[in-house]
Amino acid sequence: MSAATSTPVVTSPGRRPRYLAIAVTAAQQAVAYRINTVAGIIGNFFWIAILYYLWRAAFAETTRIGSFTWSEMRTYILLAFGLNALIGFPTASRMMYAIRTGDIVIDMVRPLNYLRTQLAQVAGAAVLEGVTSFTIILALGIGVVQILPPASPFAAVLFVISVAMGFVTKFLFVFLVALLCFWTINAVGLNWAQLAVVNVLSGTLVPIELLPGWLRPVAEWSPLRGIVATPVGVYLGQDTGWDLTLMLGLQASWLVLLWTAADRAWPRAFRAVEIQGG
Amino acid sequence: MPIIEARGLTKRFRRPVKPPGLGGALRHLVRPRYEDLTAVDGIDLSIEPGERVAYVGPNGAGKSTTVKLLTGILVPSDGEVRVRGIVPFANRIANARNIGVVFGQRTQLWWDIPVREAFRLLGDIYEVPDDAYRATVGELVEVLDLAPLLPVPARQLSLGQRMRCDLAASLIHSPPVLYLDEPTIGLDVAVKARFREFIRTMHARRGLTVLLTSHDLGDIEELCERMVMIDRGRIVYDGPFAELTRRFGYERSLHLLFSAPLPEAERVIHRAIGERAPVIIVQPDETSVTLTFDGRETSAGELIRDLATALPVADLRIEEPTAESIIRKLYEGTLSFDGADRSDRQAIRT
Amino acid sequence: MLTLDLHRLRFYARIYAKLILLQLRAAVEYRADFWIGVVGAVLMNGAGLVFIAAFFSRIPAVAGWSAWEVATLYGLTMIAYGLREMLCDGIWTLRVQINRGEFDRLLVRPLSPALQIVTSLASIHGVGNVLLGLVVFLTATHRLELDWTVAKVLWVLMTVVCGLIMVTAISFLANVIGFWEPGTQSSFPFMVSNVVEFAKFPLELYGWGIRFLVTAVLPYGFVSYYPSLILLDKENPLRWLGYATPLATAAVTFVTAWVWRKGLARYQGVGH
Repeated sequence: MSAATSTPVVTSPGRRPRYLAIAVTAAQQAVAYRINTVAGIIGNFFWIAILYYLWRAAFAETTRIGSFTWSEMRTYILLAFGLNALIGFPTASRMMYAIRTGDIVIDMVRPLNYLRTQLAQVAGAAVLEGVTSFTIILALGIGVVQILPPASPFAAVLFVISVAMGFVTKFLFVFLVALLCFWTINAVGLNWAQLAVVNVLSGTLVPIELLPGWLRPVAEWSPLRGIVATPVGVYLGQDTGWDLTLMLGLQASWLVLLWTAADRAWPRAFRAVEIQGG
Repeated sequence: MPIIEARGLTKRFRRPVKPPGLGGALRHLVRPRYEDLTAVDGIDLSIEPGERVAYVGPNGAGKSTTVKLLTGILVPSDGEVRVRGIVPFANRIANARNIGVVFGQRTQLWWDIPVREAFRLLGDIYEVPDDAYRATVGELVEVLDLAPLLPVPARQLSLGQRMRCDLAASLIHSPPVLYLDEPTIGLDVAVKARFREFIRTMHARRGLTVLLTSHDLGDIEELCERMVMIDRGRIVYDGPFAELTRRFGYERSLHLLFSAPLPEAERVIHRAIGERAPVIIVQPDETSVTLTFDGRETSAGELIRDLATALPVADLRIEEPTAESIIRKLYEGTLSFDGADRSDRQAIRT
Repeated sequence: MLTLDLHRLRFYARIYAKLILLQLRAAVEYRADFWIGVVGAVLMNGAGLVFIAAFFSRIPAVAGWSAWEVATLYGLTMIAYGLREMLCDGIWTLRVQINRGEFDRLLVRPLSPALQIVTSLASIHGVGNVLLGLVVFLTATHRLELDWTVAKVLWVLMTVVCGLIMVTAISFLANVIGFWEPGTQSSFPFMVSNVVEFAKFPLELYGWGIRFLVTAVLPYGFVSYYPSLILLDKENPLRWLGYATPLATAAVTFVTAWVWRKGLARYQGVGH
């Protein structure tokens, strides 16, 4: 007894913060799905290849499309898909199926905040998926596509910060969509819709400045640009000074707003379904 | 002439041996290694039309492999099999018309489709003529009391309701042979009893040949007059169910209740019966004792005669083994299938 | 013998129609889910169309292909793919059925297991892809002022039918792996199936590796690109391959049937 009080560290060996423990477990599970992970990345690669070849053909005729040069464009494509893959289709599916199948009950009986639990799980899985896809894309980028380095060391630092914010932004968006699974069993349809909207409005498929018509202003100000367009813009050094501050400010504001929305939405979703007797 | 006939029926599986880890998986890719596993090992089986046979054995004994061989799902490695004169695997579709199969854990209905539609679809698939279809479904709906279930999609049925519908679905084409694979698994006691009643009724009405695999002794006892037991791919018992207790039920127990506490009953008993027979003595408390012995070496009467004077016996009860306990012991391996001579002593000592 | 086979064929066609109609009807009954599926599927392909619109608003043509010509390819691919989802999506349940032992059920019925597996699922959301594909295809050919003749109408019908068979056959090929590796939940079938994305754009854009892949290995090129060379009357040294569309489809179907039989034999434990 006295030994324990004198050396408190020994009494709880290796105790980790709760949400870190959840993240680590999720990462371990992701290792088990590693074939899926790699396949998911290769699945992404198809569209990277399509875009790469299309833009290459386009840049054969001209040196500049919008504000993009060919080397900027191919850097953009690779980074965009790499970032968007951090929270991939399988991760979103897992979140949705947990609600659909009722496995969510297990999370609910634990003394944890549901939103944070989910974030920790997604982050844990993404560490593995992210590292794998990052390695592949880096290899592709350096070996085959010859991407540009960050515009400056300062841009590199801001890029990392912006990617972190973008990651949580995407998580929150997917989380909010996943809550709809309380009302529908068609998780696949929801997931497609989510994926399509993110692909367009985040600037993954096309840089936002090239979007046609009304889509462009919508994407400019939408929270989803924080997932891809903002961090990649920072990386390429497209915005400087006041514009840069504005972009990062917008990204951070949306993040806070989405977090607040998500934090309020999930208890309501739970209650609504309980009332329905679901 | 038997309706189901198997001679030397054998099924070997080839299982890849994969060393653990990624390296192992790669090594397996380059030079795969396999091990052979004999699931069914030269079975001879002959079932007459109208017989009801229980096919039992511990998990992994080869029961479901046999059923798959008989239904044409699997191709045998060796031996012959004929169901109604047809070789199932060679003529799978012709065989399929002669058999009905109920898998307890898997429905043959379509998840989202109402039962009525599913029946009609099965009628089409088995090409049942219209009037025969109406007559059969009419009878099944009446016997199985399905009328209220007809408009319901399978996903909304309870397990008991689903099993009734499944049974009907497997009989729509009036097959002469019915396989029931664990049909009552997960059903409650009342539903089980009803289900057995249905099977008996259908058997009586149609003269079905029934082959049942089950772990539920009630199923076996109430549905089947004949039992075939399989262990490690071989048939170890084939005969009337009632015969089982006669052949293996030689282990008896004698429970004695004393009129006064007797802490050292065991010593007293040993002295009283001397070297007459090996007996296992268990004394749960000071006023009672249980003796287990081999009924072929010693009779209960002899033991009681010896003990009645030595002990203050107030009450006594003789217990004969139930079929359940015998089968359990056979499964556990504490009772040998070879029965009498070789291992009776071990059986008693354990 | 021939008459008997014809009877069998008619019987199979009737059973197929009944099964798939029942599946589709059941799927429509969950109304909200039906619409979410359709909207999701349409949005997925709509995203690709947004890209095409953005791309061609900056560049008039790429590798000799105008925006509406590319849209023709996109539309044809969507139609074939959407039809498969509606009519022949059941093969995607193979792995699950094998794992749960449900596949045994198919083998104790007097019907071809392939027919039964095809009809075990109908993805109603395919209707969205078919309709969007049709709209895109018809708008594109209208804008291209395509001169519709009877021959061209027949050619398009042939293309769509072959396309449906081709994408179905390849999805079979991809999923039959379940007979060999039922345990692993790999995304291999999805990956193989997704190669179809390449067929939405003109093949001369790609490097030789991808071109070879979608011409000779997983010949999705015959779903849209090669037949369109003839429909749109494109100058191309590989134009003649367009006429080989039915042949390529037949070849892939043949290979698929062979692999399917191998897989089935393996499942039934032939030769052990």
